[in-house]
Amino acid sequence: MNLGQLLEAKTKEHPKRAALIHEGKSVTFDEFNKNVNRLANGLKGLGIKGGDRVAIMLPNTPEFVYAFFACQKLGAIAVPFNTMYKGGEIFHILNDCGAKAIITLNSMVPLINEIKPELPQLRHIITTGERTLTFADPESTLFLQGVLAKDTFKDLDEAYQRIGDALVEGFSKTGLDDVWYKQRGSLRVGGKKLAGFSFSEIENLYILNVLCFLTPFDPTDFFHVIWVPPEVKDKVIEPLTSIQEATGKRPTDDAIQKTIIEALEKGLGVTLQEGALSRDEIFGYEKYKATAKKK
Amino acid sequence: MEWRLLLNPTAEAADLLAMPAAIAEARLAGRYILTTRPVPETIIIQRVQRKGLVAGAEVGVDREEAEKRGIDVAVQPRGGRRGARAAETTSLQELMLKAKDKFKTADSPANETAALIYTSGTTGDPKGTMLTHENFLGECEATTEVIQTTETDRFATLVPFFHIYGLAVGLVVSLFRGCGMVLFPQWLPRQLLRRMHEEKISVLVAIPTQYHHLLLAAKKKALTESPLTCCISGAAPLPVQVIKEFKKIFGVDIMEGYGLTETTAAVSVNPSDKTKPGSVGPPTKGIEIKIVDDHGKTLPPHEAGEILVKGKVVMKGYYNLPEETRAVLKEGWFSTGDIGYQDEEGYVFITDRKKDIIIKGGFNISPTEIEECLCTHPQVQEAAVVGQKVKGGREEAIKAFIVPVESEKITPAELIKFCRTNLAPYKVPDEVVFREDLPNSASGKVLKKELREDYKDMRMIERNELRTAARGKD
Repeated sequence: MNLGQLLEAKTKEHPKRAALIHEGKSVTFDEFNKNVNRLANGLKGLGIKGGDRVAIMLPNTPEFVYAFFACQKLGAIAVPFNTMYKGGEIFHILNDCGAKAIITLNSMVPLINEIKPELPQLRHIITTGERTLTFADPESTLFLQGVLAKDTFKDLDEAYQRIGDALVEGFSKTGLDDVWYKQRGSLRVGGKKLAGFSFSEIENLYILNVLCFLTPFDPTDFFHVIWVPPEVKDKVIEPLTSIQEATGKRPTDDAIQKTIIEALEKGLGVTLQEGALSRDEIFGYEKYKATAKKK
Repeated sequence: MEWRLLLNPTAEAADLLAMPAAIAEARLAGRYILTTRPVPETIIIQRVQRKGLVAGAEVGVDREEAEKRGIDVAVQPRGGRRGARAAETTSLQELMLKAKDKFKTADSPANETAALIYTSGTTGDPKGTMLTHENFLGECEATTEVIQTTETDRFATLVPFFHIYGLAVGLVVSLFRGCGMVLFPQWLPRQLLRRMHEEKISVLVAIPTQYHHLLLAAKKKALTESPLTCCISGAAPLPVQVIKEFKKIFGVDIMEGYGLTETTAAVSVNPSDKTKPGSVGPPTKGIEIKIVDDHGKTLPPHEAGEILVKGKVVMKGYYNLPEETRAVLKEGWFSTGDIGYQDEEGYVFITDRKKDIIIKGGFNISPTEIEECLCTHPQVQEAAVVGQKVKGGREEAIKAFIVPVESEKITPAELIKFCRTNLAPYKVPDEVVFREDLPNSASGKVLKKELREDYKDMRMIERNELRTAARGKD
C-alpha cells in the first residue's frame, strides 16, 4: 500500500465521517479525498508527474493536507519545509531537491521571487491563503505604492528591475553606498533587507508595494498582538537593516521623500505631479477603509 | 509623461490598503464608463501616524491587545477570484476549481520516496531525508500500542506538518486510524483551550513548549475538566515538572517520545501506564534499539553509547548523498548520533548529542551535564553549553550561554565559581555569556549551531552568492 491508497481506503470505510476540522467547519473523508483528487488533477495539468519534487511551504491548513496527499496520489515527492525559512534556507532546499513547483502562502511570494531566477527547475509558484502581514511604524517605516498599467513596462521583470534600479540610485544619495537590488524583491545592504517590494496584478494593472525601513524596526509590540511564541520571535522576520543602521543617521521625512520622488522621476522618465484622489476614488477609498477597519 | 503623486504623511494602517485599492477600482471601472476622466498612473507615498498592522483575513489578531498597545489593525479582505494577487503565480483555489474530483492514484511501490524532509544537523547544509510510503505506514504501526484510539477520537496536531513529528505522528497516524483532525495553522494556547471542548479533542500531538504554554493558559482560566485522553510530546526534552502539573490540571500523563527525521519520528515512547521519569521509554512496536560503543560493539544495560535504530521506519537515505547515507546506515541499523543508555527493560535514556560532545584535555565532555549543573543555580533560567574550537587544534574551550533570571543579581564570574564547586575542573566553562534568550528551532530545541562563533546566518541573501551556489551544483 502507498499513502495515496491509504486515503482511498479510509474514504471507502467511512466517507461521511469528519476528517478535517478547520475554522469551525468540517470536511468529510469523501470531500477530503475529492479535494485531493482536484489538486492532483490540477498539478498534473501543470505538468507535475511521478517522481517530481513538489515543495510545500504552508502552515497546518487544509491546503497543506491536500497538497501532501495530492503528491502521494501523483506519485510525486512532497517536500514540506519550515514556513519560517528565509532567503538562503529556502534556496538551498529548492535547489537541492530540484523542486518543479512550490505550494505556498501568498505572503511568501516575495521571498520566493527573489531566488527564483537562480532556480531554473522551479516552474510554478502556486499560492493560497490570506496570511499577509505588514507592520507599520511611524518612526521606522515608509510605504511607496503604485497603481500602474501593466503596459508601462515590457514585462514583470522589467517592472521590478526599473523600480529596483531607480531606488538603488535614489538611496545611494542618502549615503548608502553599498545598497544593491536583488531581482524581483528587495533592496539590500550586505545580506540584510533594507526595503522589500512586490508587484501584484489585477486585470491590466500592477499594484506596487514597497516597504522601506528608515530606522531599526522593533517588532516586540506587534508580537503580542499576533501572538508569536517568544522562542521563535527572532525567526519570524528576516534579517533587516535600515537607513539609520547603514548610514549612521536617519534622513528627515521630507528629505527621504524628495529622494524617492527624484529617483522615480529620473529612473522612469516621468514627472510626478502632486495631486489628490478624484471623487470616484474617494468613494471607493471610504468603502475600502471601512471594510479594512471592520471588526 | 506626467504621473500623479499622492502624499499621505499621516496615514492609518487601513490607508495602506484603501488607497491603492480605490485607485485600482476606479481605473478598472473607468474602462467601461467613457464619461469618467481616465485615472492616471499613480505613485503613493505614505507614512503612518501610529503603529499599524495590516493583516490577511486568516491571521489571528488579538484586537484587545492591539488597542492596549495603540496599534491600528487593518484586515485585508479575502482576495477572491477577482482580487489582486501576486504577479505571475498560480492560484491553488483556481487550480482546484477547474479540476475533476476523480483521480487514478499512481501505483507507487511502498519503498518509493513519499517525502523529502530536510534536517539541519549540527554542521553543513540541511540534508534531504528520503522517507518512503512504508516508512510512514511503519510509524502508524509503531504507535498502535502507545496512541490508543477509537474512531470517535479527535486529533489536534499543534506541531507543524512540515516537521516530521507533526507529519508522521499527527497527520498520517490520524488518517490511518480514521480519526478526525482539528487543524491549527497558528498556535494560540487560549484558542486551543476553548476549541478542545467545542471540538472534543482527545489526542494532542505537541512539543514541550506548547504543553508549557497550555499549562500557563489553563492556570489563568481555572480549568477543571478536560476531554484529553492521550498526549504525546516529542522533538525536545520534556521537563518532569510539566508532566506533573499537566496531570493535575488535565488529568492525563504526557507521554514523551523520542525519534528523528531519519526514523520517521518516534521510535520509543514512555507509556502512560509505566512511565519512568527521565526516560523516553522503550522501543515502540516493531522497532529495535541498541546501544553501541565507538567500535560498534553492543553495550550492556546502563552503559552509555551511541543509539542505533532498526525497523520499517528507518529512512531510505539522504537525497543525492550516498556517502553521508552509508556513514549512518549499516545493515539496516541507523546511527542516530545521539548518546544514551538503556535499562534492563529496554527503556532509553538520552544523555547527549554525539555532535555536541566537547573534547577538552583529551576528555569527552557532556554539555548536558554542565547545563544541568548551571540550571541548579537559582539565578539561571536557561543554559546552553557549546564547545568553541581553540585555534588550529581539535581541542575546544567550553562556552556557556546563560539566560539569567535577573541579570543584575549574578555575574559570569560567580557562575564559573559556582561550577568549580560542583563540577570536575576540566568541565568548568572557560567563558560565560549572558543573553536575553536562546535561539530555538520550531520544535523548541535550542539551536546550538547558532551559538557557535563560526555560525553563518543562512537567512541572509548575499550578493551573487546564490548564483555561485547554484553553479557549484552542476
